[in-house]
Amino acid sequence: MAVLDAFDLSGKTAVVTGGNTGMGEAFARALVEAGAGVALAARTRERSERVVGEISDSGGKAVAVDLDVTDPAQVDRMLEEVTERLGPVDILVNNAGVCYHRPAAEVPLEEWHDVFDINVHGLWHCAQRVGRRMIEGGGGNIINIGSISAMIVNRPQWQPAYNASKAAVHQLTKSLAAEWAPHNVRVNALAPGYVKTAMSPVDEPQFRQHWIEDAPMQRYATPEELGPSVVYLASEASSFMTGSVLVVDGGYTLF
Amino acid sequence: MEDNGFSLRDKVAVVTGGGQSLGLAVSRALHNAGAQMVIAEVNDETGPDVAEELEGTFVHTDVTDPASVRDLVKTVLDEHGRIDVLVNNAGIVHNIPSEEVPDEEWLAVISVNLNGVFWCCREVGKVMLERGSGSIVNVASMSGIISNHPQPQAAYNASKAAVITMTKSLGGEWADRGVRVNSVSPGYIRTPLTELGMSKSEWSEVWLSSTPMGRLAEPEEIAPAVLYLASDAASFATGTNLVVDGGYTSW
Repeated sequence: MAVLDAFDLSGKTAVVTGGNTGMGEAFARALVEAGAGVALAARTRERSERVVGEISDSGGKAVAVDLDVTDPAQVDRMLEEVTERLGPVDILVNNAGVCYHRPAAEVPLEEWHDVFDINVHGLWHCAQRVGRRMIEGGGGNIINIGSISAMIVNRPQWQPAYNASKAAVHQLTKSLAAEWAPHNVRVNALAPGYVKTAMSPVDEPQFRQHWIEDAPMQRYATPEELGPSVVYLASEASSFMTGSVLVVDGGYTLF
Repeated sequence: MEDNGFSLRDKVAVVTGGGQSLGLAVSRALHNAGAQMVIAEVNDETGPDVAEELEGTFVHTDVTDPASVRDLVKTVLDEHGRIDVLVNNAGIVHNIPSEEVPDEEWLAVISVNLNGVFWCCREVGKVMLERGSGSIVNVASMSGIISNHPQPQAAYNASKAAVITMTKSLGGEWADRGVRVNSVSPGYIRTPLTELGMSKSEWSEVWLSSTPMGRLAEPEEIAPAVLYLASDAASFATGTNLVVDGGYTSW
């Protein structure tokens, strides 16, 4: 077999939560390039439609589906809609997430809840509901977007809720992986470092020293640069891999 | 399909221990992805055969001998002028209770699995740093993270932990000079190294029941992880240890 075929996703159906912006958009495009039909499951319909339009114009298969991951009923509706329009879900990329910069002593309760509602509970709703369907269907592949923030404390900005939420994502990845391995459902996480998105203002001068200059590669990644890592995790190329956290951070966590 | 960055077209790749076992699967995968292969192998029977199969070059190499490693680099540079990818795959394991391990057995494992990897990283790294580009993938093991059981293999486990940390050190050192260094840590793979263990039910039962996937990997399932890290698909990854173990270390 040609080894590059192991990375091919032709005929597969993928869901990317938060797939209409930032890293999620790049993941969706990478999965489409690898041959998958992809559902962009996100809030902000117009943005999803715009990305879907661009993907369709270049010959790829994508659909826009409304989803607020914090609402289990919407997750159920999303699953039905994707299954109907693209077929049973083979690949779920749990990408939707939020982050607030604020010192711990000043974090309002609602901000703490918002981070956990989206980054942890929302991911759980999607993983459980889609995972259940994958088990019934004989298998599947879940990729959770974690973060180096689960392993180190970012600086100079404080973001206690985000860091704790991503640590939860990494450990939930391992829990689900061990539990669902006999069901042929693989669960892995990708832990990116600093990536240039609206959520990570890598160009702002106050972050330059710690985020860029102190890091081994001395640069940030573009979202597109992370796309192939998700393709690797989503494909047969990683068929023996489950419960792993793939760190792609330009060496940030080394120092 | 588009190659999504996983292609090694026109790259020169060196695989140590590339004539056998996991190394053979890795060599085939890299060749298949377009690389010109150099099989650096101590085994004079398997090495030439694999080089011929992959239309590459065989270079007799003893990774435990720095002079032999320098000769390898010189030979490759004479033929190709550069090295784009190095996979440090050569490795050995001895299963001996630690209280009985003879000095020479301990030293033999460390010489191949740790010193050999460093000699190759150092010599090939020099050449890559001069060009300002290159990708090194070290084959470590989940044994660098957990302690295998029931079979005793302290030297192997210690050597693999050292490879993981050496990978992080070199990754950090060379990151701003265009050379990436990453490791792959497989779980149990169906190879001659694990054949003995699989024939003993008291070993194989523990191995399989400790792996959530309940099976061993085929070498062909690990090779794509090496290709991913070796290629531009992983251009932002350095110092990373990619664990591919069927879930073993989750338990």
